[in-house]
Amino acid sequence: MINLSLVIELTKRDFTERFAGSVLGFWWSFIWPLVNLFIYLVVFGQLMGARLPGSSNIYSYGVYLSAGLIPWTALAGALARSSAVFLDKRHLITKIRLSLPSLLIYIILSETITFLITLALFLTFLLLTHWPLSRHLLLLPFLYYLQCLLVFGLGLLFATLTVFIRDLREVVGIVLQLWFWFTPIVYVKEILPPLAQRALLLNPAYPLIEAYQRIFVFRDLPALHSLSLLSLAVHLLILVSYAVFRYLERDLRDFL
Amino acid sequence: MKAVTFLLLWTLLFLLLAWGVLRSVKRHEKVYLLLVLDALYLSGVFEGYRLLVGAP
Repeated sequence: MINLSLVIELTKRDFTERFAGSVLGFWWSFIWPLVNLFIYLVVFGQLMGARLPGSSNIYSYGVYLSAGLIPWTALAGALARSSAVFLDKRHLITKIRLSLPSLLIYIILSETITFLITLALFLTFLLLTHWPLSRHLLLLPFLYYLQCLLVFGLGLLFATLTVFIRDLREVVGIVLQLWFWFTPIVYVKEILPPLAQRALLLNPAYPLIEAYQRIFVFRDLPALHSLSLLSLAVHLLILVSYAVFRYLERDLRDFL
Repeated sequence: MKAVTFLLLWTLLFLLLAWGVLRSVKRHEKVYLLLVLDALYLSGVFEGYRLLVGAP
């Protein structure tokens, strides 16, 4: 099963090593999200005058953009790192006997810390600007949990296959780029042609990102039935990924 | 308030079930059982919340 102490140690190290040796150290984990939020909320909203269709609020587009980009950054960052984690940590895997799926969990936890810091700053901004908050904010932990499960399922599958097919690492990067532009994060889905709007139903990130946008921007209830279906699909994906991993585990350790 | 109570109780119930599985089931079957439990848990959260807030 999972090596809990190892996961915690790796998470701590991953987070501290990121800013090791820098003067500001840990504070960089606040500065980066602040700069990003400044760009989304102030530059796009106030300086460039971008607005959501039908809204005159100067922050509407910035809030829409942040509500999509914050979870997407966590999802894409965790998935990109997860898909090569067995190769990146081969020095550890070949030396000590450890449960390989634990390595994905430490990456997800590390990205979660960044996500939580950014989310806290975003919520502070919303409170300061008197942006009305929805009672459905209650669903955020469950949305994020589902997102982590999606990352775990895809990450485990890619991490296993990348050991045998090294090109997959680059492919994942390209797929993430395409996936980003196929998900309505910087644009609203209504600008897509009808066929592309229907194809969005096949995009697993879409119900998740749309749920964040509905809660933060429109103060509306997310499409909960789609989320239930996504949850079942994600668990099935984890089942398949785990079966593939178990089947290839011995060869995988030899290949590293 | 009803939604908060439901989410807390639902989570507590599944945490107890997961704890039971972790203590009593063998290594690999544990993973599959936990996955099934988790799928039920999350779907239950979304569907239960939907019913509680009276959404279609």
